[in-house]
Amino acid sequence: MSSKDPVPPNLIHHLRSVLIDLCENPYPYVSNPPTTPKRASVALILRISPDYDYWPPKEAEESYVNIQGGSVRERLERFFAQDWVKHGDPEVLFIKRSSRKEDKWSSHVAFPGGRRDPEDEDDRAAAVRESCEEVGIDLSEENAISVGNLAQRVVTSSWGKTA
Amino acid sequence: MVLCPYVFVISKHDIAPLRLQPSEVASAHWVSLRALLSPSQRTVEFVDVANRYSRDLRRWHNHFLLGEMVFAAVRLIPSESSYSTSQSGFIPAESKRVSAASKLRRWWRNDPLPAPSLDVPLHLWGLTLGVMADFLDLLPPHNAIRLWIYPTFTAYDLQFILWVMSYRFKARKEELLLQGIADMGSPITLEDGVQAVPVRNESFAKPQLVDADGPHYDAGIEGLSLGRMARQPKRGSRSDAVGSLLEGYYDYIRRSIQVTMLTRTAVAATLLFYFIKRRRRI
Repeated sequence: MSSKDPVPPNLIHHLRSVLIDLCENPYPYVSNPPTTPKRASVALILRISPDYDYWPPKEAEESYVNIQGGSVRERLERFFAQDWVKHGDPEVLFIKRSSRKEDKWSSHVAFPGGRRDPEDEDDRAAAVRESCEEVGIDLSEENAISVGNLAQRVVTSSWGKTA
Repeated sequence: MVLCPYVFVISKHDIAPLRLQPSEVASAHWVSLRALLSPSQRTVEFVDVANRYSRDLRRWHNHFLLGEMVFAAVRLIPSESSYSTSQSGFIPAESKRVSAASKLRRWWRNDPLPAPSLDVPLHLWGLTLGVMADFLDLLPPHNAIRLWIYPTFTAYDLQFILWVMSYRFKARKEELLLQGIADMGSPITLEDGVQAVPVRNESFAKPQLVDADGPHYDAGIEGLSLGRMARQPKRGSRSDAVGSLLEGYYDYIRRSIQVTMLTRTAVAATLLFYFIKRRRRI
């Protein structure tokens, strides 16, 4: 029998606390400095990969929990109360960007995301739209819980000068 | 540009397979948080400097003189990956004219085939690492910022001069961050003004500061624990830790490059003068 490398038992528990804290205490909005009107958003998309012994029930099954509806906190509480989530392994999605040059494959690891368009209602909407366009992931309420944000930051390029 | 990260949790186990946009995305990877939290996957990323600074510095500062830049990085171990297989380069094509040098190299390495894209290790570094570190730092052992190092160079003399010149700057940053001021010198990231914030780091045993709020633990630049676990409710005094640490650092990089160039020129001139003198004596 192969040995298991278990997820530290507290990790899911701490993740739950962190996410609830994030949803209740959003980071402040950072306005654009006068020289940089652009805004961009990225999506830090988490999922729980189920353990072999704790497989999630199908929609038709009795033990299936519908976590739609209610406040973000309520949805998070319901989500993390499920057995398969408690025993799962949390993961995050990264993308590797395409290289523009034809002879190079290597390029940067990033989160899905991109520039905010005028049509985007807010920064969060930009993150949702870009994620859908780039990786085809649907972050609507049916599939995902929008937890909150992390610290917004002014991005510099060229040795500290603003981008 | 203002970058705004948002956190989402996929609430279903069985979402549709990812559909990657080939012009933008070469591959997508699900990576376990355990792998990201693991210190054993900390590494560095070497970046060719020439592209990054050629606009700012004089033309003769080239790759040969400066070497490469070294950034903190994390090697990613994906549990699941998808690739834009339609993109050219996914399956390496044999170029029609293979140079003799390239053939020799392959023979020397006993490697008949060019490496496919899948063999290139995935390194998380730069801005994305900064955002990820902010999130990871919220989870125990709250030492994600510890994994981060100030960017430096591979050229040893430049590395040393940069270290000397930025020593006090880094010490000041460490002090400020100990006090919990996460966003110094950057009023645009504040709404309520700068607030001193007590920092609590559960991974250290000895409390070193005790005040009315109770004991606070010495974090040190290598054990920073800012963010949610810092016991402060005030909004506006939390900002991205890596960005705060870097603020002003690039001035030191610029200056240390200038000093290094001057030093090298002086040393070269001295040696040249010495050898000319010696030849004249003979």
